Amino acid sequence: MSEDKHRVSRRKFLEIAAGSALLGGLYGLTFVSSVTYGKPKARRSSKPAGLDMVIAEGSGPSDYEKITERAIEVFGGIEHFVHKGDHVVLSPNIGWMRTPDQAATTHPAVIRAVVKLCQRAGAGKITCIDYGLDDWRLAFNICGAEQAVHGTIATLLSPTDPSLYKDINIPSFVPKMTITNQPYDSRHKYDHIMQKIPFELMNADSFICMPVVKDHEAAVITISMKKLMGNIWNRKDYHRYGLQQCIAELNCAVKPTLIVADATRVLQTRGPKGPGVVTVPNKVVVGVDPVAVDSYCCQFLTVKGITPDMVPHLVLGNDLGVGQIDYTGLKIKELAGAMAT
Amino acid sequence: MAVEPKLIRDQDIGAISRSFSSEEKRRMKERPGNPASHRIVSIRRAVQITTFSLFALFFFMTTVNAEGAWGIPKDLFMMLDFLPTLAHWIESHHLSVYAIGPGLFILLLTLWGGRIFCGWICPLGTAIDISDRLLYRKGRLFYNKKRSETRRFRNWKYLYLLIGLGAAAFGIDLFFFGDPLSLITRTFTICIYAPIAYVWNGSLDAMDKLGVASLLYNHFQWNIATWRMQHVVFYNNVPLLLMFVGIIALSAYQERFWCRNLCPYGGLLALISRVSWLRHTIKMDGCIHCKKCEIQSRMGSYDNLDKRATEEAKHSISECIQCFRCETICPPDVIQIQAKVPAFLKERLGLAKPNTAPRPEPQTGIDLGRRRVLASIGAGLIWGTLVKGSAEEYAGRMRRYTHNNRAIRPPGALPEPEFLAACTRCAECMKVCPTNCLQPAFLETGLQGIWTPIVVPSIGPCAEKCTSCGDVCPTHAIQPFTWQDKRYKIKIGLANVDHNTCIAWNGGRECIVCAEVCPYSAVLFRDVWDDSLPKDPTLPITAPGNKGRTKRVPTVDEKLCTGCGNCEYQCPVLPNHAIVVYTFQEDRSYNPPKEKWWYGFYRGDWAKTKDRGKNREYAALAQEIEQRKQQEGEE
Repeated sequence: MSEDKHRVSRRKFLEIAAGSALLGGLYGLTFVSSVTYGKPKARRSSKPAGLDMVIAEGSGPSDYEKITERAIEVFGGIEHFVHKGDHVVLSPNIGWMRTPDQAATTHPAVIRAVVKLCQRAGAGKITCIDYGLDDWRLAFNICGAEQAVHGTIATLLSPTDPSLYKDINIPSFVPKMTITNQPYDSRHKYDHIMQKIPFELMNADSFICMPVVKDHEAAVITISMKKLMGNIWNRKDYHRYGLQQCIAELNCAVKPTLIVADATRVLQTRGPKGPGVVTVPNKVVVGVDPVAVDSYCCQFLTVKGITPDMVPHLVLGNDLGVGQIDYTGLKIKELAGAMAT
Repeated sequence: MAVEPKLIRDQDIGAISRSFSSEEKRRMKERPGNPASHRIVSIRRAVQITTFSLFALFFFMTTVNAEGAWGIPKDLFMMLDFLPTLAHWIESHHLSVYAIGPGLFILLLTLWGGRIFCGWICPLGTAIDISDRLLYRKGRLFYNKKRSETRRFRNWKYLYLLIGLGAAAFGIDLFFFGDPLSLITRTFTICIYAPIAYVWNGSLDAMDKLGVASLLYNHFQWNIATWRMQHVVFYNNVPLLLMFVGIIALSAYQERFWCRNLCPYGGLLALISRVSWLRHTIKMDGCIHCKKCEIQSRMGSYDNLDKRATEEAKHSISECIQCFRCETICPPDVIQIQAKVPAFLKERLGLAKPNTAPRPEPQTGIDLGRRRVLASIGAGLIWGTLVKGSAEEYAGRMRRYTHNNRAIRPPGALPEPEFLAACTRCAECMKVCPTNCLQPAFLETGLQGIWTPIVVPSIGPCAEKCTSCGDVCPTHAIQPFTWQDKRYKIKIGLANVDHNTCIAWNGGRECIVCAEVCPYSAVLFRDVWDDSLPKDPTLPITAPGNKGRTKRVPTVDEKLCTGCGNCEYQCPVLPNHAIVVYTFQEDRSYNPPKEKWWYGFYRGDWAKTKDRGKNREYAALAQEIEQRKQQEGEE
């Protein structure tokens, strides 16, 4: 009798085996899910009206909302980029504790215009993401982003925790340009830079990049290509391994659906945070090619006289096939005066 | 001081001295004692659970954003603890009027009812009681069978108190180690709050990995990523946890071992409770000498209830915490607890004739022995002299040679000797710190500075407009300050660039992170010429005309830098950052209270502390927004 008590029946054995297999499988699944890389699901960019770039010029802050709407409308309309029920991620510069007239952040009117357009096109969810260096609770308020999205379905998000991110696979290339002229025998450093982008951006249907045009003391300029640095977690590695190469490689992996570059006010010196010299071109640039938009916007940086050749990540982006640096052959439409508003 | 009495050993009298009849046994098995006292015990339990929950509630509510609840300040429980206030008064010659009120209330309560604080209010005592009920319930009857052991360590708490007071005369605080409220708050912050956050965040991560997160997101639009708690880590959590676990474990030997034998605040209250009015009376003619009270007393405060004992039966009020258990367990119900004027006080006041007959409430005196008292005070004085005369302390006042120059004090901290005297190591500042940059020190600031808060910029920066640590500090070791003070007056350190590891200085790479993040614009960039860098990077440096180019390198403006550590936190050079904050040029003398030689009362910061806990950060933000709106309106 006592022997029977300790005996495991076949049924019991099978139950235990099945249970442990299930648990082990679940554990294995978590392991598998943790090592797989995702890829951003954002819609591919297109040129619905056949235009490569549209530039609208206004006359003052009261026009900014109108010229933004007008430029997108001429470019082909928001409905080509945002479909009904889409989850739209906007990526404006809102991470600095600077007021709109200091030109370190995207103007609230431009953000509001794009948010309203997306809402009108039937977006299901709109998230404005910027992972800035300043305290986001203060920065979002001071730069006017909170007021810009007030009353709309858009929400602001600053992903300050690594768990809000997902791993992505970024192609790495042999650096074409050396800085210290060291032989690149340490190329392994450039392989496998683990990079993460926010959960929300990974699952977004449409990704609209909304940079402000400004000077940058390290990367020369910061427009749409450099703007992606506001959406990644591991920025420290990028500075160590060479900023320009890493920006170009990041742009190979993450591509915006639409770019709305805000050149209404341009910070000319002491970027990216300022305060510095500010000029007011009153322009908004809409395009889909990050390199072309950036090289076009270089003409607004008049104080330092920056040309596209002086910006290494534009040259590298051209070489890596992100876009084309020479915008002379492109179809560009410039709207001004009554046409723009 | 009387001569130490000779303890009667158990083998002299036998553990239980008599046998009981079946009728007596039946009565003892039933619910014995006074029915009214059962009600009081229920009330006591309710009060204990309420105060403990309030303590936990206030603890978890002590965050950057929250104010005190219902007009009660967040550090109420810390203020109920009179010992740090007393020690701070003796040590630094300041008495904060703000903190003294609740502590005095507890002293008055003790004058009336003995150590009610220990039995009914103290959160550490409640924690010990709860763990005792969960862990050691079954073994309780065996605790005190050796009655000589109930008295063995009893005097240690007075000796600790005397050593601490002796050291306090030299301005050295020793009470932080065992002060009950500091201890439980510290344990809550470092050993309970941090693991709770870790487990909570970890389970959210597991849900994320198992795909539950995306299910919730798709079906209910719940983003569990927003449910996360602040992730906190702390140094020195293991020694602190071991201390707490040790206190719980000692209860297996004697119930409430800590409160009986070691707690210095208990010792202080025990001294006061000698003249308290809430007394225990034993009607000896009805006593059946079952020794139940002596064995089961929570604090072991009954002596000689044995029939064969040579001394008279005694209850010592200074050891009793008024838990009312003895009244509930007494089978013949001869123990009564009632408020009345103590007999000796009656005699002194002339209300009663001097009585030579055995009194109804005979007392065991606190009997330390003259030699031990003198030795304890002497030990405290010697410790004080040693620490005061050591190079550490001397340097602390003068130049702080031995103070680790990476041990940055939080903004608003008093000058070092005063800070060490005032800080109770309650870790409230570490709880509220929104960036987790405040950490308990170990020996970075000398032997006396153990568990004091230091800023560790590689864990988090000192946030620009945060004033939380000054708001919550219960003893004002961190003075209340405003963010303007922090910007213009206080200097907690100075950032320093290492030219060998900085990737801009050495290698000429483009990195301006320290300048980007500096909230005070103290990191400036200048262009310097470097011969070792090639002009055209695609060509070797030996090519003609290719030698040297300018590089853009960071420099720190020492007038603007406050030492907040934002630059160190964000510096991409790992693991030793290239820009590092040291305590050079630290300035704490912005507005310390003036020292008075003869124990001056100082008003605390009553005017300032009226809005303690209100979030000045956001008040300042609102002000800025208002100003901006006005400017826009003018335009």
